[in-house]
Amino acid sequence: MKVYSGNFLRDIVSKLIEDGYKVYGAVKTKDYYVFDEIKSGEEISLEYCNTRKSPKEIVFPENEVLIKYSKWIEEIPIDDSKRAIVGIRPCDAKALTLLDKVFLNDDFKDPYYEARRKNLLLIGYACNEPGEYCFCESLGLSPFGSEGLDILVSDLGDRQVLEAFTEEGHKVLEMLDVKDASEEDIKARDELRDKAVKMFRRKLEVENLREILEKNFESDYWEKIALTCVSCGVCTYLCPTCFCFDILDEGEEEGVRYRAWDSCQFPLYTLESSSHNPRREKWQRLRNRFYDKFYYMVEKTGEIFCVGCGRCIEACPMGIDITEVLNGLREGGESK
Amino acid sequence: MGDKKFDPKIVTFACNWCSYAGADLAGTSRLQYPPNIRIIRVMCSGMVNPALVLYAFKKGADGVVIAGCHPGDCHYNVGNYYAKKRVILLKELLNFVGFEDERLKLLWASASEGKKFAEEMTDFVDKIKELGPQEKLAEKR
Amino acid sequence: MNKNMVEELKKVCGDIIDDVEAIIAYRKKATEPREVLTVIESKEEIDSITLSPLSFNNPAKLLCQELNKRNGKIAVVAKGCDSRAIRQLVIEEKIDRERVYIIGISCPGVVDYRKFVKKVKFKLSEIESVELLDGKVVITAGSEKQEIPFDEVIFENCLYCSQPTPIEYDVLLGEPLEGRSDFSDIEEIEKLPLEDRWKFWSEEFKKCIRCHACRSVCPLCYCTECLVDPTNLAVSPMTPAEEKASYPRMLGKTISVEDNLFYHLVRVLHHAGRCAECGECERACPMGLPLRKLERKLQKVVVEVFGYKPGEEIPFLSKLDILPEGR
Repeated sequence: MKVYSGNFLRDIVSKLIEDGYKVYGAVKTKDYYVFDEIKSGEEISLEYCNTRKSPKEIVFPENEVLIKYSKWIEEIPIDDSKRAIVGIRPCDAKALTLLDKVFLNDDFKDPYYEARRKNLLLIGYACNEPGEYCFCESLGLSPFGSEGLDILVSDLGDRQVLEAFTEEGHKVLEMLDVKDASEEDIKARDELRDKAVKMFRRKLEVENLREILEKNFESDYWEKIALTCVSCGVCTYLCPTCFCFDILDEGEEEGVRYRAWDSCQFPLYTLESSSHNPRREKWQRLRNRFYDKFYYMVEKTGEIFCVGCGRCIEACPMGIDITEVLNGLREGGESK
Repeated sequence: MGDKKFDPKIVTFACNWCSYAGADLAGTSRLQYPPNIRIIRVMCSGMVNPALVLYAFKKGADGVVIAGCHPGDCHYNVGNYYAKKRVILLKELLNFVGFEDERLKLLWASASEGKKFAEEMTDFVDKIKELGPQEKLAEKR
Repeated sequence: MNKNMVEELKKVCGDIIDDVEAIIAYRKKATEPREVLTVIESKEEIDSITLSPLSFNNPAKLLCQELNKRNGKIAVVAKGCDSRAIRQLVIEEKIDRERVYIIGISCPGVVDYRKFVKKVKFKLSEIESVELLDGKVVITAGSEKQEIPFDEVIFENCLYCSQPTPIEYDVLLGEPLEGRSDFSDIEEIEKLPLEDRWKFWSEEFKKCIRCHACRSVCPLCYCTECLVDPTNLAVSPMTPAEEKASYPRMLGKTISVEDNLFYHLVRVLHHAGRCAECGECERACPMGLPLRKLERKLQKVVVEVFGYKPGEEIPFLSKLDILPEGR
């Protein structure tokens, strides 16, 4: 471990840009934060709990043009320049490793995702205090977790403790004047971590969750909780692990073919050309969201596709809460 | 702010009973008016959805004209009143978001007013030439 | 909106629970002070009903849904804006007035939840009650209290509410309140030069992610297939194949300033004279777009240029004797 006196996250930005990286950091917009391309360390904000939109849009943008067509087809060159995200939270970094299981698995490697992901440097920012809506600890993650990160920065106030996990991470650490961390520094960091882990205000019970979901597919619990849902799709758009997309053509004689985010909450998602819709009712679509994340993806990849960031809870206009729904299933669901 | 090489594209929604016949009359009377006007025949000016007007701008039109019957003369009684209401709302809203609402015009022209049709169109094309190409709502592929 | 009003409300619900099939009211969410809509069917559930400045959701959409599902009468707790939405839906024949029992709440305004969370000093799960007393939001957590001036956390839309007392109700709780007809913030934007206005709006609409939440929560956007929203298609087994194959789509899913503006302008234009001004659109928007300003500009035109009073029996577009001269 190393220690840096100063603000590592601010100071590393200019060094990364010199080295040819495109740097993304959290920028304040109105009253929230989003990851955006920055040109200097001053533009970065560090007082956020987490950003409104997840950083998945850096590897999986909302619109990605695949080809342009007119009299002939023009392929768009895939951009694989070096990118760095400075100040990503451990939950979002873990979410990117989960997306890797989808886009970079043995059956098929998505070339667009791969190009952006393979040259992506992640400098993590540990959470000294979990947010109001956070529950990553219930899923086995930690506010000081390191999965998926190249570097983890823990802010002790007057100095920062740095840990590098990959070769690239070690290289980047040497770009600034870092010293070896003393016993005291490591102890202070461990204390911060132990304190943070105890401060969670939300809990999701995951014990036997897969079995409980398996039993309750036909339960009328799902109709009850979906009463107020309006199928707006905000939860899926902000979620760091949601990855559904649609491929569309726009333009008749000349135009583009592009990939855009889609949501399982939209009625059109499962509409078949015969006009039959297996998920016609909104409670079926809402149920699908929970099952996809906590059952189907567990079967497919062995991991729960939720990192406990809490963005869906904060943003749902009708107040539907993923922790309340799944915790309530234990008492409220009946197996038929 | 005139661009000599700029050739505006104007989309006109002309109602079948009055203004389209008026445009026809301008043609048979050999009255000259600029060829920039692309006329789309609709049954009544009241059927022009504001989304169609915005779609024309999206596809690159520099100006849009809605031409209908004079108030009281609509073949369907009140269609042109709906058109007038919609154009007022649309103009106010476009002006509010910072788009030049002079690019949208509402024209009353009857079937016998071929000369008026040609004159109004010529004036409109001149005005659009002054405003320049429309870029704010045009799609950029 | 204080504890007394909640007791009154529970009493009214207790009186009518036997005459109606269900009551749509607010209850507190388990882990936060925020209130969510709920459907009450039995006497035992009445105790979970609450009412506070955090009861901000509009029940009109849920009411339509429940009326379609059930056959009997449904009671609904409606604030000023909610009652405008219900009245408009009655005029447009989406709600049968005979089947609805409106419990009107004279509303002094609701709290902007995101502003509230930033200002409150307790943990959200500790908060027991939130009340509005004498222009101050009083938050109680155990033995401690915190007072925040209402102006600091009020939802901006409520500052311009024209009818805080419901225009349509069967029973009214709370003292009648004066509305405001104030378009000063719109006039501020109108004063700016054209290019500055364009810069302001294109900067804002760069942020839109086209999630369509604004349209999904709006009680007056009830079209199954929306002209500008590619998230649903109205097809039936009878729809011929040629029609399905050649469907004209005005808008895809491209995120650009032009397409975002196209979507929002068309959506707002369809609300001329109909908007209930409840603010659900702006509240649902994850990117904080100033959607209410667009709607209020249209409302200003409807009220000032056409002289139309929203809530009239004849819908705005159908009324033809209000065309201004010389335009």
